[in-house]
Amino acid sequence: MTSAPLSKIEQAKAERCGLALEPELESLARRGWEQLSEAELTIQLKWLGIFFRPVSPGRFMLRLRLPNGVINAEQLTVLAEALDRCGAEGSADLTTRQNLQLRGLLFEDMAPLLKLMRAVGLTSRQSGHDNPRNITGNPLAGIDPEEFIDTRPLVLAIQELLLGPDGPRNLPRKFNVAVGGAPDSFLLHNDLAFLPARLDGDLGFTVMVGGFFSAQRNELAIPLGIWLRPDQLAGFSLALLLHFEREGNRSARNRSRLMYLIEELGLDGYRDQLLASYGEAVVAHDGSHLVDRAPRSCLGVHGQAQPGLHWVGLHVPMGRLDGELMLALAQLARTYGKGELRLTEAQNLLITDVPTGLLPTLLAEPLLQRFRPDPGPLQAEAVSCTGSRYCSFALIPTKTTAQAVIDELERRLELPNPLRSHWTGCSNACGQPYMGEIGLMGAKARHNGEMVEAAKIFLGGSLGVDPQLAQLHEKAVPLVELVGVLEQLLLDRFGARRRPQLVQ
Amino acid sequence: MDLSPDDWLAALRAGELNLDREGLAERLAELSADQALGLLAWWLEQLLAGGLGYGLGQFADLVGRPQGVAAAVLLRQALGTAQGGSPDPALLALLLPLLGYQRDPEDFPGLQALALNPGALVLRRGALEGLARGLSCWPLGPLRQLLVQLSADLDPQLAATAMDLLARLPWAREGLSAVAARGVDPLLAPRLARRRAAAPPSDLLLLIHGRSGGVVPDELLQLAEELRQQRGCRVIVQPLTDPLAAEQALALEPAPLTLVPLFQLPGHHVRHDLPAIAAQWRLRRWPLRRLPFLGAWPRWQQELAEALGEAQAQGWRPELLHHPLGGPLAARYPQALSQRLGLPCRPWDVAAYSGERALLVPLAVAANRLSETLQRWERPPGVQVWPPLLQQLRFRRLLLEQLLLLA
Repeated sequence: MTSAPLSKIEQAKAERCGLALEPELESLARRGWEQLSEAELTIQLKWLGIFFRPVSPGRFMLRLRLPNGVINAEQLTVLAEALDRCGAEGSADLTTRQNLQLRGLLFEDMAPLLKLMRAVGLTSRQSGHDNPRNITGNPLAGIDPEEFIDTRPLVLAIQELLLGPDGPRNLPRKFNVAVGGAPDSFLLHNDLAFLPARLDGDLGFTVMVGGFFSAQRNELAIPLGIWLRPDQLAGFSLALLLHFEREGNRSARNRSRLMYLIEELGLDGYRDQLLASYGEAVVAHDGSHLVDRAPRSCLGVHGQAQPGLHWVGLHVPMGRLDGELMLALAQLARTYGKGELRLTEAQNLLITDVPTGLLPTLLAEPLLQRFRPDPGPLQAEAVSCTGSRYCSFALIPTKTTAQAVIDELERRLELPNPLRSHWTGCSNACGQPYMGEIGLMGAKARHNGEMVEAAKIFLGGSLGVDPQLAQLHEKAVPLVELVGVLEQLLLDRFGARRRPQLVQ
Repeated sequence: MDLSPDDWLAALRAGELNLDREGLAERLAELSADQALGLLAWWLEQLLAGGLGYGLGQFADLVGRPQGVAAAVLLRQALGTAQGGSPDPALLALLLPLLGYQRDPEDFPGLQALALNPGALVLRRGALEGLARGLSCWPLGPLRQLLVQLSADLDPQLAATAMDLLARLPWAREGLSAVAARGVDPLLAPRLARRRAAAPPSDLLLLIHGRSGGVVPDELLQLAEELRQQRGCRVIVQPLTDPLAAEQALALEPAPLTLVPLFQLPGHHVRHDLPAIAAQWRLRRWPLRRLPFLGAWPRWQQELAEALGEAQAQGWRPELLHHPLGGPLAARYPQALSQRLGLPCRPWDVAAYSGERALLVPLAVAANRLSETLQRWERPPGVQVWPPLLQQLRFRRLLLEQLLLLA
């Protein structure tokens, strides 16, 4: 037991659970949200998924929860309608956790929007701050010809328990959970990842723990040494998070992710405590699993496990949408599929259940000129954080920079294979630069005697059978020189060739 | 980065530091409220002295975080200074959202004037964004009026934003209907249709007299249920005879509410109880608007006129009867109704009925003492008594229609 005084953040969290603010939202909107204290405004509201944004004071963000990245047209329409009312201020980002966050909302929008969301089965609860974040799964769950197991019911069951009456409300830090169901389910960047594994012929999951990226340290999850049946995942997750809630470090936020607790207790000690809390018998396991390749891009037309049906993966440039585009996408999903869309960790989306006969018409839709099923090899797997337009930490406007650089590189070069690039605005690494074959991180550099926007370059991230984190390759390259530096890298290391008309 | 916040501010003021977003973002978390205010003051001074040319504009969102009287004063002063001489609209437009974010009702007239002024577009848009950030703190009536007007603006972006803000106000359907009636840019018509389709109807508070012990007549219970189903909103029935029911209703989660006084006559209840009840709801933070008492609705009177005209065509001689009314003001209503319908209207007195083919019409919305007295009365042959109005299909249908049309 530690008697260290609680930090400001811990005090705010202990004062009251942010969920208690929900019944007050409507009257706060009328009376004026400026009556909220700093702690309520900047910390507690995040328990409802509502973010005060210092970069746009008065315009708020709402982060949803979309378990396994599944959303239907009716739900998307509700969100689009809310965003549409924000005009030029409104936008939505697809996140690297198969999730959506809406920007530009007024506080007055929150209570009615949450009510409408409830009516269509959506929630934004506990999606920010020290909470279990959106739980990810195989974006192709249930339609994937290659899947071992459908992750959707498992993810839902975990979410239900974690957000239920016995779930954690005051974790020491944020917590990422993911469930893998296919050979390309790379999930080792999560605090808790369940990877499909066979034991004596039975399909279950080996448990990986402690993965995370931060400004100080980056770790891939390590095997906990146990195997679980699918029906044990939810209960085990709850036990693990409650244990973390009790035992995690609350005195130093930069040492409070799960991995630090594991190191403090030792892996064996941690496992012993955890299993004692869980209370159910589990089987020891060597951590081997069925994930043996990097994630598929999912873009383009692919046959589903269901004969005669297809998913069409669409590239969303830099993962950014607005209300009108969301309405149009919902309409596409209704017209050509069964009204379902899936979000991927690469910030793209899929329309599922498209019959063979409708494919030509869908592919001829004008909207697919914007959301292409066949983007260039750099576009296809470019992942980006929000950037300085909406985040005060970002040192560069990540999305627009990435888009401009990639456009120019694709104009100059041909690449033999899609290449995964991860762009992030600062060292907090929300854009996961360590997972990219090329990773870029916003920085400052001196150029012609002035401090200018720049990017550090990381190379070598691999999400395959032998996962590796990308390592720093080049310190801050001024953005004005970035295209040239990346062009040379692609030529030297990634088999790129100059387009014929550009060869002198 | 080893400087204390005070030293950092001092160095900034002395021109010893170059401001960049990274450094500023990190510093902001360490500043006290007073220090953040000092930073805002410094930034405003620099901005006014040097304009936007030095890249200071990029910090507006970060330094504009302080909220309160002192920050509002600083911003008003800066705007005042910036508006003098030859003002830079882009600079003003940068400050207006920050002023709106202060959410001080005092700033409404200024923002309103700038949004309406036929000046630089960037300035008008800045003013509207200021209004957006303070939306719920402005006076509702003038705000609605302003937004209805701006929804027809020639600048489609301004008009669209105004429409979107209107859709967020209480009784949004009313405001959006007004926009539709004025006509909008054809490009914005689909947007208006989307806003109108999504605008929720306000809840209804049906204020009724009620029977002894708070009993609600069946015809009113039926009306309330039909409204709930067809309008898709909460319908609260408040009988004057049941103070407990009112107390329970007041404890519900407040939402925009339309008070519908279901009274035929402007008696004591309408003139005295009704304002007191409205005040009570407002005091409990319910946004409330009042409709006139039912007997004064032109459409209601028209229906009455048509129904009684039909009766006359069948040879009946209608006589309007009401319960005793106190005071000269209340007495003017029966006179006015009598003139409008061309029929006698008087207090019920058993000794004064008019004889053969008389149709006695109690002015009662629902069953009350007068209507029951008349029903029980052993009337002479050839005299008919009308049931209370809401027990008649045509009046119930009309009232339902009117209440379904309400925003």
